[in-house]
Amino acid sequence: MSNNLIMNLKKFSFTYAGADEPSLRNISLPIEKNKITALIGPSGCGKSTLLRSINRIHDLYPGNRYEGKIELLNEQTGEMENILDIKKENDFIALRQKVGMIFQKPTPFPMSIFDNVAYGLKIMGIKDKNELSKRVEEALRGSALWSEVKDRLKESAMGLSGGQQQRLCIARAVAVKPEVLLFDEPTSALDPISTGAIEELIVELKQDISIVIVTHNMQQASRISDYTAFMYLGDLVEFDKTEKIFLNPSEKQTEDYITGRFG
Amino acid sequence: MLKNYDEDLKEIKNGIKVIGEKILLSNKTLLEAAKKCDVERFTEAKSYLKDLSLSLNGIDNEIIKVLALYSPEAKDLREVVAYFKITNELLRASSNTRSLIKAFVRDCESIDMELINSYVIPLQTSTIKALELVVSMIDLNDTDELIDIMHEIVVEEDKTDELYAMLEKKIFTGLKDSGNFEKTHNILKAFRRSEKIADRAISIANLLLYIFKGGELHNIR
Repeated sequence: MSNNLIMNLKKFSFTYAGADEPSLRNISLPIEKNKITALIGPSGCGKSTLLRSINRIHDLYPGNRYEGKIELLNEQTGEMENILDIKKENDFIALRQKVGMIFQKPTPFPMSIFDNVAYGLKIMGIKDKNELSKRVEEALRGSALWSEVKDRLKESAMGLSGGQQQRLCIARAVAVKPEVLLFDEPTSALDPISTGAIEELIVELKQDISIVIVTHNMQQASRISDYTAFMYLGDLVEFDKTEKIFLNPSEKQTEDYITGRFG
Repeated sequence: MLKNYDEDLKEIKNGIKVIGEKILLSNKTLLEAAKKCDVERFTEAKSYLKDLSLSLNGIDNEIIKVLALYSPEAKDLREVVAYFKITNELLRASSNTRSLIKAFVRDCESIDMELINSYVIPLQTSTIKALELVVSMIDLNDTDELIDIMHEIVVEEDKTDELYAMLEKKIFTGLKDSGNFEKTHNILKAFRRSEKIADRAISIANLLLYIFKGGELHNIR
């Protein structure tokens, strides 16, 4: 692992509101810039909890407890900043612009295709119509959706197929130029063709954006990621280059999981 | 399949082609050297085989990586499996070429030139032709074209079988007079390597055809 990190989790623990025991324990995980890091592990191992901690989406509900550090690189100063120190609402919004999230099920807003992509841009304060159109087109092109929707930008996004809706959500996230994109099982609700399109898109996106992806699909993790983290019961069991994890894992638990012996 | 899979596979395919070309070049140089018993050119022929087993080992590890990371299926799977077996065939072809060079360096001064001109050169020429044809197959995607070339390789390989049989007969006929069984045995063993290289060419051609035609491995000649 090089020192080219965009995020760095240090001894991070997380406890849900009202729970006695932490759901994540002492997770130390470096996230390299312009690489894809996959989080794998059986259901309930904490991978989605970890992903949601990375842009503090848990804070939409009160009472959760964080320990340790989640550092995000400040591109302007070159310093790592602990996102667990964020307290103000505006800072949370800024964090989620820098660290965007794509969910399992496509979540288009009930508005036009254009407005879906322009939504985040307008929140950022972009009002100029030409600038908005340019940025929307750029995002749709970047999400490999432009050729399919360019003639119906004013139509409802709800009329798109599942795969197109998911790419629209990616375009919406990409439009605000995030530094990191978090994908929570982004293809589990899609057919193989749409899955292939999303996977290709994710691989393309890493040229500009660092990516963390949660997936239950071992082949997906092995196909597209550069690094893989295997989690089990709230612990990070093993983290290494994907090639190493899928060819010569150091831990027996990792080997047993990826070969389908448990989970 | 993803772009990185295609790129990895392309790299493997290129690696195999480069090694095939080196073995071909080594055999061509060996043929030129044999015509004049030119020791320098034998050394040159050997130089093309340097570190080939290391390169093939690297390709094998790349293939294992592709299998582990991308779980290829159908034609993709056949292609990866074929390459995995082709590296082994190339290793054997390289080893046979090396042994042939060694035998020439050791014995070429004492081998009857008439034997070389009448049997060994035609034998090695057919082997080279078979190798040339199989290397040309690596970049092809058209099954009919691959089958046509496969037929040409079969012809060349049959020629090497026949030429070797004739050479064997010729040498054994003269054995009574030569009185040197060990030397004769060594010469025959060496020339057998040339025929073996043509066998490797046909195995590789089979595997390249298997990628596109499917069916059972090794059963489509």
